[in-house]
Amino acid sequence: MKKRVISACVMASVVCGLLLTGNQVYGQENMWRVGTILPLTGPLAKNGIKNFDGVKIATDMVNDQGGVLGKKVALVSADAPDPQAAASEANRLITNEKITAIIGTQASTLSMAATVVAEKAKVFYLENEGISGGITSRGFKYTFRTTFDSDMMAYQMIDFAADVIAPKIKKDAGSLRLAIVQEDGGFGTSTGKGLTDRAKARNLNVVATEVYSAKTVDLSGLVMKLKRAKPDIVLAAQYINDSILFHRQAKELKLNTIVIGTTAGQGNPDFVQAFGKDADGVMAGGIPSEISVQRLTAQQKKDADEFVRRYKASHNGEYPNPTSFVGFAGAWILYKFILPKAGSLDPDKLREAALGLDIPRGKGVLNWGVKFAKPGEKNAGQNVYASAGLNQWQNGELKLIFPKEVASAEFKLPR
Amino acid sequence: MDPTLFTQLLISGILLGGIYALASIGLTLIFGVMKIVNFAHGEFFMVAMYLTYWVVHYFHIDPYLATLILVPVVFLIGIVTYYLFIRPTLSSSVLAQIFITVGLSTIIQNVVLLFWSADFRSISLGYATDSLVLGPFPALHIEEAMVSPARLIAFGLAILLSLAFYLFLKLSYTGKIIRATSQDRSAALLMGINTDRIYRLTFAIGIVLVGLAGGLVLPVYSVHPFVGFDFVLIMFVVVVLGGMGSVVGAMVSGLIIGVVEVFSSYWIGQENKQVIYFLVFIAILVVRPSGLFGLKEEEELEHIETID
Repeated sequence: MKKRVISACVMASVVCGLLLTGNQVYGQENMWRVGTILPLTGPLAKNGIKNFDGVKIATDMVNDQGGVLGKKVALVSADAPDPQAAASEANRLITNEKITAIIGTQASTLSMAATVVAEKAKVFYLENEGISGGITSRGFKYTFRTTFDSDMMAYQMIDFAADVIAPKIKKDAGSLRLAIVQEDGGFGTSTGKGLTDRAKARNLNVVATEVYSAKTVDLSGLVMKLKRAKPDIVLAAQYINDSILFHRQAKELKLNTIVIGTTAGQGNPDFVQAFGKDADGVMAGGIPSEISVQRLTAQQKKDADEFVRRYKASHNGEYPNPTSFVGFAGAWILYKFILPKAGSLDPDKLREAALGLDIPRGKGVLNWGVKFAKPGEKNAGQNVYASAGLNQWQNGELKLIFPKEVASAEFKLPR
Repeated sequence: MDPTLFTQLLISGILLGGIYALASIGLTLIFGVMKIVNFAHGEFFMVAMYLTYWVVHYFHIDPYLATLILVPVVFLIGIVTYYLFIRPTLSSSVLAQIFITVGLSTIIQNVVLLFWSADFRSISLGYATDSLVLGPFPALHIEEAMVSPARLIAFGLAILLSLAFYLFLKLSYTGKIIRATSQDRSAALLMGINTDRIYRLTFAIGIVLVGLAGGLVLPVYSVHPFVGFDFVLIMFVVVVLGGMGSVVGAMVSGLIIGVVEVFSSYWIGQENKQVIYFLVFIAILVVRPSGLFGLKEEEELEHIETID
């Protein structure tokens, strides 16, 4: 009897725990009810929570400015630790919560699952961080992506390697040796494909392409293979945990090479925490590490400053994490450009409003503009005015070094 | 095969295997003695990594020293867990035991996530992360061989600890009681052995062993609330391959899995390495269903009959 009681208590606490982390409703009637699907628990929680922080701050800012068309925004948040949960939570938001516009999903694998459900139910879905090419290549009518896609990021990484780094190490594009390392999930696969395609199109020499699972606890075989291939530059599509492991083992096995990773891995603040000074020189393509003010209008600069101020206030003075930027940007685009134009959360009206937008670069958010590719065009629903950036760790800080017009620091050749 | 490469892969594989082995011994002990499959084992590994991390972070002491200091704390965690979650389910069905340890694993992960966030935390240990370069050894055609001190220390301590633990089981009176309880709980009870006390002790020792593993790998791996996930599957493979309940088996099979993993990731490809070590796993189990050092059922009976 006693043990049954105890087991029941344990089960009850598990259920309570799930409920607590599951559905939090910020707000009620007579508000714009917008759904969010993000990994708030589980292995992807690290970036999922930071992304949600960005969405939350955008929502608070809009509400403090009087809301959208006089009505405040309420977030109905759902936790999606894995693709199954992403699909079932999308279903729950749509059928139980009657949500018609969803922001998500941080990771590509989660996005692929959640957008399928939304598309079937004809619900407007705004992808704010998942960059896999697959998200916009399926011809979905209601899926829009505010951030750049993996090709935009990968092309920039290759171009930077060939055009900027190669001359500095006294190589021409023909003799440059590149290696590609990619995790085998949606993110790594689509980024790896972009890297390979671009290298091929530019006739660059890829001496090794290595695929691995991000859950692995050992990469010594992979590092030894790279060492034998003698690459000048390694392009790595990795998450944070495996990027730390990769650099640790590269150091253990003395693989000396220039590395361009991404903001999902090498650009994460935990990376510099793990390596300290040794992180200096490592590069990360993807989300620009800073909101560069060069191209911004006065109002936008004010909003950006306000975002940074609020983020710092709630995060012990830390500068916003890149993933919070894109979370903020996605929500901001919905509140400031799409929703006011649509005047309603009706998915078809939102869709029409989104397709009609043409906000030039610098007048949108984070140096981005807003223009979604039309149905029938390549990658329909992709924001073609979003752009990736290239960052580099310099003295423990992640500096934006490319594209030139928005960069805050010069590229420094790693030791 | 190029001897330099072969040596390097072998070194990497053995050092990795040592980590697997150390992490698995506690699991095999708990299973062997208590017949409980502890699905939360990876979480204790994670908690120990965190505790070591915090001690290093706040008191700036050496992580290896911190690991040793934390042994009593981890032991206490083991005792408390035993009373709260394990003891009540000892005579329940296997299903209930699975539920309780799986539930425990989820609770620990989410509590840790709540308090310590999903950040990936790492320590950088200057003297232990710079590799020692050995060689060249012209006689063996080896140009150089790199050994990571952090991994070597973890490996060395793993071997020492398991050896000490093995001797404790074989030679000490308490060790004998633990083995007796493992062979037949009812008979042990009839002989006047306080099996409850032995279970409590065994569980706590099992947790201490995995805790030591967690602390020792901190200079090599970052800690986050889900790091246990990454290791626990391999721990189960190692335990089953070695023979459930066998400490020597866990050591040997840990090394086998480590070496097979590193070699196959080089030759077959990193993405397929799991296929290879699972094939090895299945092949060995086909020949020896009870694992490398596990006793077959009839052997187990014989063994019990001939025990003095």
